[in-house]
Amino acid sequence: MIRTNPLFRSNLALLASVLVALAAACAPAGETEDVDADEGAQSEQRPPDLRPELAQVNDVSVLYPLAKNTDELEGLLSSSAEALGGSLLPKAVYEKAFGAPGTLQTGGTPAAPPHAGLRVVAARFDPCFGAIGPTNDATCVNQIRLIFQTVKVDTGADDTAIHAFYTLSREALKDAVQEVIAVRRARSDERLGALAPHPLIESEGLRGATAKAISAVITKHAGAANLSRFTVFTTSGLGTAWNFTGFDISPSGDVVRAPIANVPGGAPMVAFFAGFRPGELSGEPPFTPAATGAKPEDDMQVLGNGAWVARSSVSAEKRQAAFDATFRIENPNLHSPDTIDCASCHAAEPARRIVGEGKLGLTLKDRRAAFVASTEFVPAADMKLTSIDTSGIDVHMFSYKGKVASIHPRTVNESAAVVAYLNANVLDARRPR
Amino acid sequence: MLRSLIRTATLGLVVSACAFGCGVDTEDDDNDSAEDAVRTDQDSLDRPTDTKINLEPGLWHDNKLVPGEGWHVYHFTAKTDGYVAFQMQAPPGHPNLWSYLRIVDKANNSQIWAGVGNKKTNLCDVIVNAEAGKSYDVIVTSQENSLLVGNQRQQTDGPYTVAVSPVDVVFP
Repeated sequence: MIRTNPLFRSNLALLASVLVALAAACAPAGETEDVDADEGAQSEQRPPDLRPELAQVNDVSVLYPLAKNTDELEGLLSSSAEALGGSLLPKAVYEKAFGAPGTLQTGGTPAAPPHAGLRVVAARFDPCFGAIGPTNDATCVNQIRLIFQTVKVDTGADDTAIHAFYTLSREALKDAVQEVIAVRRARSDERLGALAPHPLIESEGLRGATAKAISAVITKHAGAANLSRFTVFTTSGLGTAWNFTGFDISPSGDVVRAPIANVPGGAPMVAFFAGFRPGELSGEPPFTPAATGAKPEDDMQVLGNGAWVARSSVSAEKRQAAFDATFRIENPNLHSPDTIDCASCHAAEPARRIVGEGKLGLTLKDRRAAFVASTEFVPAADMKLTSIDTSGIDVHMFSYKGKVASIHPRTVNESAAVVAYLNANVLDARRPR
Repeated sequence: MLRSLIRTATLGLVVSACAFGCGVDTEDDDNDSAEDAVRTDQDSLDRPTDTKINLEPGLWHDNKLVPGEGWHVYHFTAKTDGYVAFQMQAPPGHPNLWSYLRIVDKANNSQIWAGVGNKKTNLCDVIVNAEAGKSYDVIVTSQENSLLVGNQRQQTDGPYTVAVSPVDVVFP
């Protein structure tokens, strides 16, 4: 994710006491009080600009509430919904990747969820997907990303999810975001607050005006015409293992396996195995294949097994580095899905909480690892974690496990980064009024 | 998990004693092909079902045994030399289902199997010193042994998960 426009990097004056105070307010769990400035904090010199016409975290990352009844279920976009250039998630393309319904995946891992039952549970509007550090706007990949799950009224969502990526022009992305903002403002100019199931949809229901309007924005700008990638994670090991894989769609319609960062070349899938001891991480091995290509400062995988990491052969430095790596992985200024493997990213939160904090009692040491939001556009209150599933191991970063919404810190951080970039560079918030 | 290894000279398979109390036994058995005969010995098993699934290291496969369908057979071909742990876990709590995991090395006409010694964990675990290129059959079953009366077949039943995982037996 782009953090800065070079135009705004000049004439910086660090306000140390303010930065410390703001960083502490924004800090994720385990963060120390003193935080060095990073690119995201460079705009701290600017006063907050929280005008209602600017983007907020719940505008750029929309989590639909779960359906309370069968009527509400129809309020969630289906995979076959009429959208840009055809259906929202074309069945032919889906089954080209995963095979006919019920086809087991690599090594007998579960089949992808049936196409017919998929519903959109979340959406993201991203002006510069995967970019890290200063990036030329012209090279940005503007995207809408959707999360599909199999949703049932009585049991909620299955412990599996599809992530679909749709590429669009900057203008289309801008239009989409402005349309979403307009939907919000049609109801109220009150801030929506921290990332959570969309507050307006919660109050109105899935058949209400806000849900319908946001869904209309999605189908207007995303669909078969611009679907570029989809990924999946499934659950096996009787609910103790999660298997991640994905496919890219070429302009010619070919479906090819998407590369996974930091794992041996050609690995079609990565898996995270939590082990069979409830409430612990005891998988042997926890990650398959291991992310042998990760830099030491980005490698959190030793936290995947609470017994392994506690051995005397694992140095305190290595444990600390792994702990700090979970923050680095969650920092959109440092990492993107193109630089970290799926399993490490999805396991970062539970591994840090259960093993790093719970078992080893660690706290963050490398201050540069943690993401610091721009308070110009994202108040501290909007960075609050509202929905971490601590009942067990939950790898959902912005979707549901059963009826429990799970929002990981990475998603909050990304949303804040997207808001800051959008407001500064796309919605022209800093243009003289 | 503590693993202690006992090499068996004749088989080339290594027996694992599970920390959770899995029972372990080894035997030379050339009766694997006699699938139609009803056997009343200790190892009497229902008709098998070949899942035709090739297990990949580190990836868990879930399935469900069905009465009358028999125990399930999987396949694994080692790509590299090294120790692997074949594991099978069925949900604990069923008083009459007993899980077994059998690894068959057809090339050497040998097999090794583990049963569950600790019903609280219900995990079977067999460590094998796999050889690159060699194929192994992996047989899993959870059975109601109490039904074996009057030449009646065993009744397999219940969900389970199975995997083959690389093992680092040289603890750092």
